[in-house]
Amino acid sequence: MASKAMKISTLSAVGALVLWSIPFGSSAFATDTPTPTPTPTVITIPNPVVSPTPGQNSEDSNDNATEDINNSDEQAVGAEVQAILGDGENDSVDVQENDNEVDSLDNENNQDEASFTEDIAAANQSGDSEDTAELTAAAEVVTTVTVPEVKAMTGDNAEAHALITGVPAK
Amino acid sequence: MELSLKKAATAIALVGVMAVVPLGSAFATTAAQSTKVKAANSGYAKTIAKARADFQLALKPSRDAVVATGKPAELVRREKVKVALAAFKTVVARAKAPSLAAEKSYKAAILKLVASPKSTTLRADSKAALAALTLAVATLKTDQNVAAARTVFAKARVQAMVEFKATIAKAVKQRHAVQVRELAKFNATKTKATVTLKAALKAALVGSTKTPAKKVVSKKK
Repeated sequence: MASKAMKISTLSAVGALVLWSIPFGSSAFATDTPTPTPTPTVITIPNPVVSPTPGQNSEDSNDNATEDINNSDEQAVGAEVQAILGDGENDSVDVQENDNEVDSLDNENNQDEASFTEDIAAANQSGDSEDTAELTAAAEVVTTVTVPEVKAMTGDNAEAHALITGVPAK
Repeated sequence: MELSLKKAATAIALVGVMAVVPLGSAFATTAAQSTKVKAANSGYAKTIAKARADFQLALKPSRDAVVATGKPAELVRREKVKVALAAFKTVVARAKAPSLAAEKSYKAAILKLVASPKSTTLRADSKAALAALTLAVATLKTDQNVAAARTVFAKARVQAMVEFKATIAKAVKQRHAVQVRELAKFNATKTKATVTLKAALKAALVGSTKTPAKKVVSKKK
């Protein structure tokens, strides 16, 4: 009987020791591994991105209106406003984007380019592949006559759009 | 013996309760912190959303004013450019005509050569056509009429832009002033909200920092 009582006491002591150690184990883990906390959802506003003003060339150097309105400060503020309001705000400003004149010039250049491409293909077919270089050079001259005007007009359109909407051109 | 058994059972139960209590309190602390952090974040988000809405509302009249002035002015500008471009294109088309004609002649000659590849006459014709094309292109490259027309068009284009800008200048300046003013307001609100958020997060996390502090002290000992 006495040995049975001793066994029970020993088992009780071991069980108590195990249970007693659990809080220490949990607190140790809690210490080494800090309680996870949700990451703060701080909304950050992007820094203003100052885009270069399109359509600026030597011909515009005497343009006083350009200096008055389209300065870097205006562009920076516009970019910051855009960052706060998001792209959706700009979509509400329905400004005519297409320019038929620019498209027309582009199409003419493309047609000339296609014509010269046919010449090059025919020359290669005839075996006169040495003509290719001269034809390519000729195509370069004929198709690029109005390219500076296309670029200038596209730049003007972008600048006008930026002024109307108040944000830098994309 | 019965007494010993009762004592043992009581000891086991007591230790079991002691072991469970710290675990429960730890979970309760974490949940409370999470609630506080969520509340702080939510408060910040609401403040910023309101500031953004106020900002948009304040800007709208001046922005609309620029659009109302700018859209018709832009149409006028493009119409002026269109007229000037038509004159430029006429000069360019006239200057390009010899090159394009030479290009067609070359194409016709080379197609004949494709049909009869061994013909030395046709080969000579195609070479002559290519030489004529090269000459025409060289003339186009240095055409003075094109250069003069280009200058005229550029001036007209720049003038149209100057007039456009002059038309909308007042409205643009007004919008700019409003944007600068409202931007300062928005940024001030945002800065204040950020400070509040950081303080709230710090307060919420104080509980979790106590336990590691005790642990560090005990390790030093």
